[in-house]
Amino acid sequence: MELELGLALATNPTHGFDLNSNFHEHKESIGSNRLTHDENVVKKRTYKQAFYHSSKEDEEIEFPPTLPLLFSNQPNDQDDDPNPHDNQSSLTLNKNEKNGNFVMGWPPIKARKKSNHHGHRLSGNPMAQSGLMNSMYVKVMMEGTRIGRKIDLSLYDCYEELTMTLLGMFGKCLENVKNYRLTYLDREGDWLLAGAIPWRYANVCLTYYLPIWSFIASARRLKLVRSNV
Amino acid sequence: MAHSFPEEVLEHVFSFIDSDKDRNAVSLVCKSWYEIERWCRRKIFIGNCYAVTPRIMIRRFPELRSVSLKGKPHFADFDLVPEGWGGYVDPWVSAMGRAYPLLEELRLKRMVVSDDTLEMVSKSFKNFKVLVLSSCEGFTTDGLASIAANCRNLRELDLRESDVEDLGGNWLSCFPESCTSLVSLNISCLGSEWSLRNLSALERLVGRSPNLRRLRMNRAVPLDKLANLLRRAPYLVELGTGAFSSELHPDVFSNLSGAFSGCKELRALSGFWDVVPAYLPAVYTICSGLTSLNLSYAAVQSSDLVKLITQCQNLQRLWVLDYIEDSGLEALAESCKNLQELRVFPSDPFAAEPNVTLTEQGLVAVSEGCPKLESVLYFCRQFTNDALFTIAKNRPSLTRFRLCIIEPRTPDYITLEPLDAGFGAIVQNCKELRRLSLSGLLTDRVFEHIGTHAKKLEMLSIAFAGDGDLGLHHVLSGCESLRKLEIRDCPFGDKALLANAAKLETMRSLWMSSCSVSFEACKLLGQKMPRLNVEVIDERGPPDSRPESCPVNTVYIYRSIAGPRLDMPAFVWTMDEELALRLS
Repeated sequence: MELELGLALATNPTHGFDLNSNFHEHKESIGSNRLTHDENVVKKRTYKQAFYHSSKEDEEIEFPPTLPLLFSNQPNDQDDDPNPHDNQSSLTLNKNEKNGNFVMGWPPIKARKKSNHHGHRLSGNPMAQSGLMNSMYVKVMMEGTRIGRKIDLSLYDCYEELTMTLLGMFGKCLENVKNYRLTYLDREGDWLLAGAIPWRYANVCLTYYLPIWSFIASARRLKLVRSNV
Repeated sequence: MAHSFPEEVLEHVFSFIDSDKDRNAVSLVCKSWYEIERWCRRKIFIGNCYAVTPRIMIRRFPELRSVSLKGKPHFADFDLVPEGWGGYVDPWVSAMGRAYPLLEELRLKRMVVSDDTLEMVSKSFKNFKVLVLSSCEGFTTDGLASIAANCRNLRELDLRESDVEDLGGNWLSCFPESCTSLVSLNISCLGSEWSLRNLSALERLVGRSPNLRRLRMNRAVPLDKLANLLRRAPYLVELGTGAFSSELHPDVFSNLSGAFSGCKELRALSGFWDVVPAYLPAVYTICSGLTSLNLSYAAVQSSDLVKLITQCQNLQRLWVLDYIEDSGLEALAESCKNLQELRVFPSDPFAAEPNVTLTEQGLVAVSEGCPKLESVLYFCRQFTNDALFTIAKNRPSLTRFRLCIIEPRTPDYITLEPLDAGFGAIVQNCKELRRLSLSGLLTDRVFEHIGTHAKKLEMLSIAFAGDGDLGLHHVLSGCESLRKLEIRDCPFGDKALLANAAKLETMRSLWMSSCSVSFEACKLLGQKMPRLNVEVIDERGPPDSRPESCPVNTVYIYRSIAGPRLDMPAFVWTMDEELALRLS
């Protein structure tokens, strides 16, 4: 239950407090902020009349091209076009080349944030995230380097792409790919060689009913180690 | 009148009055009642932390024990509020640390909480008992360690859906051995990677908390630990499991099943991450007592879900993924006659083709079979006006109805008409409707219906709907009980907003993003309505660098007696002229 903060409102404050007509005046009367009650009532009626051509609500409602109360001299596009199929509103499209066009924050499902991500993305994942495929940052170390990096696994499609990117991050040229191997810390806390399990989609081993997690769902940390070849 | 009863008597009478609404009414009777009431008020709920300042709260209510605050607007849950917007609790905690040394409870929702704040909480309030952080962020496990270590009488620590950075320490070990007061612990939002030390700390904590009744764990707690935990807490009323998967082993299963059957008070179950269907029967023994079941993390087929749900004849609340499908919902409608709340979430909302058979039929079946149904949240891909008529006819008792048809502007898939008439039937028949979310193809007609009939509606969410200002005008002028209105991607402009400016002072807040509200109109509103804060959120740069008639990205309007806030980031502009001049 909400606390009423003692906003002492007049009897029915919503009656006809119409700032539309105020719009031309505000430039002249900057000092006065209050409309009188009579002004309010008059303006409300005018406003209503402006929208309805007749008193019958069932009739087709037509919008006049310009209204006496319009504050701008430009006709309002939306009012002139009652066609619901036209795309009038401005969609905020969030383009992501990997995932096509998505509308930000739609459908309205609670987004799980970065610090909580690891392992939540299986195919058919419950509580899927909003808009973009959500980022999956993991820490990366390279043997012999003190300072680690962070990388977003959701941006890559396969092991090769990931390894190349990592080498680049640590400033190694790509011929060096033979000299390094990618290892990862899995869900059970073991360091394993990357490449054995599917990159993205989880599977079930039908014989033993064991879940086989995808790489991007399992990997907690990454490390590039020098191979002993 | 004021002299006929001594103050102590009035205070004693007032102590029986709990609801905020009644307390507010009491305080308006006369000056002396106002005075007495304000000194004996112990609990406060502030729905918008920017509507009032800590100083004003403390000045009026000097003896509070329980404070609840909400910060960011609801659409922050869907990433529509940029990071850094605000909602910082620190100034509140600093002020309360000095003013309310006896504070016992703090409940926050959508606020930014830092580790320093948590440390301050743990050290300022000697009798601190309850901390609920719902959808909060900004803190780490270090902050939790302070709470664990310093709050000697902690009863409740609930982090529901908060975003906590896990620094890898073992904060659970910070609960001293002498701490035995825990009643409720919800750490389900924490990560899926935990050290063994944390796990054993959890086991010990549970073992020494005889009053523990609510335990919601995170994914990192493996299934083979669950049986032990249950045996240490057989009086649990609410349980959130960790991961519900393991290699199939008959011993693990029978151990788990036995542990569950020992928990005879269990009424609510949740968790079920990574669930392997073969383990679900382990909970069968307690199903008949369950009133609440949250399977929204259980990626399991309909048949397995049905086997579980049909055992829960006393179920009142079910949250489930759309894997349940229409057939599963039909089974639900047959078995669970006490169902009050249903939420069906999408398993794969971005799939081009539907991956499951979940349609309007499922919800219609539940509306037919469950006479006590009052709250619905339903994600699906298709709907018809007919289905909405049927639901409205079957369940006039609905109080919350949120339908999300995943593709924006989807018409009735049979008639290809807008869904205006269907939603119209909902608001006309369901006279107690307090919350409504719309979706699908909708014209201004639906808003006409809403304005005419939805007299008890308090919260309305609109997206990709309407034709023009008339739609918004219907809502603002017709919905007498409206407190919260949130709108995105609708062709609503300045006229309706300006014509109903006074209405905005009777509401908590209005959110409009990707609509057609001009900067000019925002400025006018801000200047003319001193008790409204009009904030423009626009990451494209200062609104006055574009023509004034240009629509703003987002406008967030809320009533306030605190004046414009001073903690706005660079992408939020206040329409308060004075403040803007002072800050520039």
